Amino acid sequence: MGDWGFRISEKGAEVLTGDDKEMAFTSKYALFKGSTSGTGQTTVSSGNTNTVTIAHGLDYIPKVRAYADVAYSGFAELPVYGRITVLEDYQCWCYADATNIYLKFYYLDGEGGGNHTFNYKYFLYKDKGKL
Amino acid sequence: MADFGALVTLKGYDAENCPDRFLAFSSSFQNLKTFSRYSVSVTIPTAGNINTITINHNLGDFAPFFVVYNDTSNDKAYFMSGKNGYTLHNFIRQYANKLEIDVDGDYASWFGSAGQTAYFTVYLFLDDFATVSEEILSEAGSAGASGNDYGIRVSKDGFDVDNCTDDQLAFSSSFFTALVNQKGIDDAGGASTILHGLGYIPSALAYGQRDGDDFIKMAEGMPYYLNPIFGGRTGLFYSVSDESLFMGYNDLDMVEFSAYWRTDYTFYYLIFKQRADG
Repeated sequence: MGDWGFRISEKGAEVLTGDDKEMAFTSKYALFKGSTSGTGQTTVSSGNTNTVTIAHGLDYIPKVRAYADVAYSGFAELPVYGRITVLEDYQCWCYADATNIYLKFYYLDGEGGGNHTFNYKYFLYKDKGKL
Repeated sequence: MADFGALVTLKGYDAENCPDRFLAFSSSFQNLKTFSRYSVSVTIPTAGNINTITINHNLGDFAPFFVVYNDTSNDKAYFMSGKNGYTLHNFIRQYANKLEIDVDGDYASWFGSAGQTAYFTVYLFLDDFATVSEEILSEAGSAGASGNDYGIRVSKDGFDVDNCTDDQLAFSSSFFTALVNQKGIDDAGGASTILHGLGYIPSALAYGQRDGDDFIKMAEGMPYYLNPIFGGRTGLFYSVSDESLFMGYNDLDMVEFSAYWRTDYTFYYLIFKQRADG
């Protein structure tokens, strides 16, 4: 392959002699690319796991990443699990297959009968989750 | 610095007044560059044994990474978790020149069962954690929605830009990218709080290094409840709010019987322009 391509340096870096790390973009290394994102909420009854299923329309298995409002302060990246209170357990994770992405939300109220609402955001990437 | 550079918006946004988070590219901001992707596998061992996958990358620095578990069927993609949703963070070590993944037979059910093959996809990024301070060019602006067929595409080396697949592109203005708002290393002597100034909840990647270790581990999403005496989890965690990124190693104080943030950790982080909350 000949010596050609495309590179743009970061501010203050010399585009002709700068290290690849100093480039804002170089065609030698692909940028990490996303295509869509979405938000929503799901309310889980105690003892159950809700599955949010989203068709991705790609002909391969993409990479997916997600956040939910289940953190000690703010949002936490999935996978995340633990307790909301001493008596309430939860677990959230995400994955993709060749057809859909799946967001999983489990909740258990130790005192019984409760439910919990999770707010989430997911990112679907063009980059493959399986090569 | 003179007012020059290159900037590309996502489709539908005006390049003259586009909020930073809707840029596909800007020479003002760093962007995660994929150094390499790896497809690796190992046999799940029996209890009491550990099989380790080693990827020698020779980058010479701690580099951002993540791992996707492809299950024993090699047809799914779990981000940093086993098939049961439990986190893999504690099984993965990133050294300056190699990355290791432990498949521990004591946790065989997280992957499948002993004797099966566990498949993984690993992403390594070229970037390091050299400090880049927060810079916000624009949070105002609006979309000038358009369905016109225009934009910029750059293919990866060896692929035809006219007809390659999306995965074979190095860049496209059709897709959002991981624009870096700020990054760095923080040795706070306890939990670390990094202000980001974005005014919304951004996505992030966080890692931690315990004093004396020559590797980093990826931080997990931080649970609500942290007191280990009553079932709270210990571990390396992070969370993001509309003001800051919070990182810490939550542990049990055996004297006070309460949770505390370990003081022997250094944190490595990237905060992106992307919103995690809407």
